[in-house]
This record gives sequence, structure tokens and C-alpha cells, in this order.
Amino acid sequence: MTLFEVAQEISRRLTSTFLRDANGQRPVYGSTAKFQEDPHWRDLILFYEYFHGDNGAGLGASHQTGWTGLAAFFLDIFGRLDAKTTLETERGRVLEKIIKEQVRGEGTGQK
Amino acid sequence: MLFTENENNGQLLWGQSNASPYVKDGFHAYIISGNLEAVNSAKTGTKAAAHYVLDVPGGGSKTVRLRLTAAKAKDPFGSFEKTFNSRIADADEFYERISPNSLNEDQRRVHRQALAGMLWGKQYYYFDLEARAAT
Repeated sequence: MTLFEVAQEISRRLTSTFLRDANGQRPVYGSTAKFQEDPHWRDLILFYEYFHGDNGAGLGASHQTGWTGLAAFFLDIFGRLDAKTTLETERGRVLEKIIKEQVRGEGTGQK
Repeated sequence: MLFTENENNGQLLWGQSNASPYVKDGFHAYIISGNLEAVNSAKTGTKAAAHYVLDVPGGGSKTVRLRLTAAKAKDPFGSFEKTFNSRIADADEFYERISPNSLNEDQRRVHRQALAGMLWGKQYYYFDLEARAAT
């Protein structure tokens, strides 16, 4: 694995806490059937304070600061960036490039 | 509407005197214990709540429509549906504009709700990459 792929993999693992897995379950809701299965609840996502180390189930405050919502940043950065761009862009300019894209609304919307 | 002060009930918590008879747990005292003196009858205070008593049958639902205005509006609910739908469309457009098009439906959902939570809580997390990289 290249360092870019390692970073991508860490990002994938962190965000997978909140995303539906192959069985349609979100690790963040552990074995709480209501939040896993009820159509009114299953797609409402809470950004807990911390998580169960073995299965990713959300623990502690489920709201307040919502800092684990920073997972959005990983979806954003790896949703826009590839290894080639990272290599070919001057160091320190990568984030600048992403922010400019965001502000201009480039590469957004649904495919 | 119920009103109280958003201040701790020091008398209950620490045996200290309260600056105002209307304290943070005033709504609880009013609704649960039926203590009618617990809320400010002058209808003023730093904490307010709309109190509705609804009988909801099993499996049923009730909707309460609210609109906060500085002055009494002539027809406050005439354009309610339209305004509500228009704000939803605004939010859809906003997130449509900022989420990368490489994301799938579920990633899009998580991305949007995470950012919405931060906007709602007015949270901003600043990580100065260049300052970090320089050290």
C-alpha cells in the first residue's frame, strides 16, 4: 500500500462506523434494532462522543458537540482527491485546492 | 406559553437561596408536579416553552405548527406549507452544491447530516495544516 492508500483506508474505516455495511446495518447503532431497522429511524445518523472499540457502537453523548461528525471531512477529502493530484500538487496547496473547489461548487452534486 | 429563568435551582441543589422564584426546573415543577407557581405568570423570562396537551391514539400522530414572529401576523399560517417546502428546497440545494459527486447515496446522507449537526451546533473545528507541518 502507498501512503495515500493507507490514508484512504483509515478514512474508509472511520467513516464506515456511520455507513451501512453489506448487510444494511450501521455499526454506530450496534444491536439497537429500532435504529437499524425502523424506516423512520434507520437513516437518521447520530454522531456520538465515542464508540465501542470492538463493534463501533456509539456511546456517550449522542449530540452536543457532534465532533465525530468530522467524518464528513474524510468523505469530502477522499471524495475529491486522488493519488495523482496529491503527488502533483505542491505540498500545502492540496487543502487550498479542495477549499477552492468547494467554494466554487465544482465537482459536486449527483452523478 | 410558559416562562421561567434559565438559572439553576440553587435551593434544591445546594441549599442556597434563589435570586428569582422562577428557576431552570420550573417547567418540570409546573407540568409534572402541577405547581402553578413555578412559572412566571407575567410571561417573561430567559427560558420559554410552548405547552400543549394532546391525546394521541396508539399508532397515531399529531402535528403542531408553530411560527415565531416579533409582531402578531395577519395570516401567520397562510403561506406555511409554501415557506416550509421552500426552506427544504434551499437546504437540498445547499448540500447538493457542496457534496462531492463521487459520493454514493448513503455517503451523501452521512456527509450532509454530519455537516448539518455542526452548523446547528455552530461548531467549527480549525486544523491549521500548514502551522502543524511547519513544526
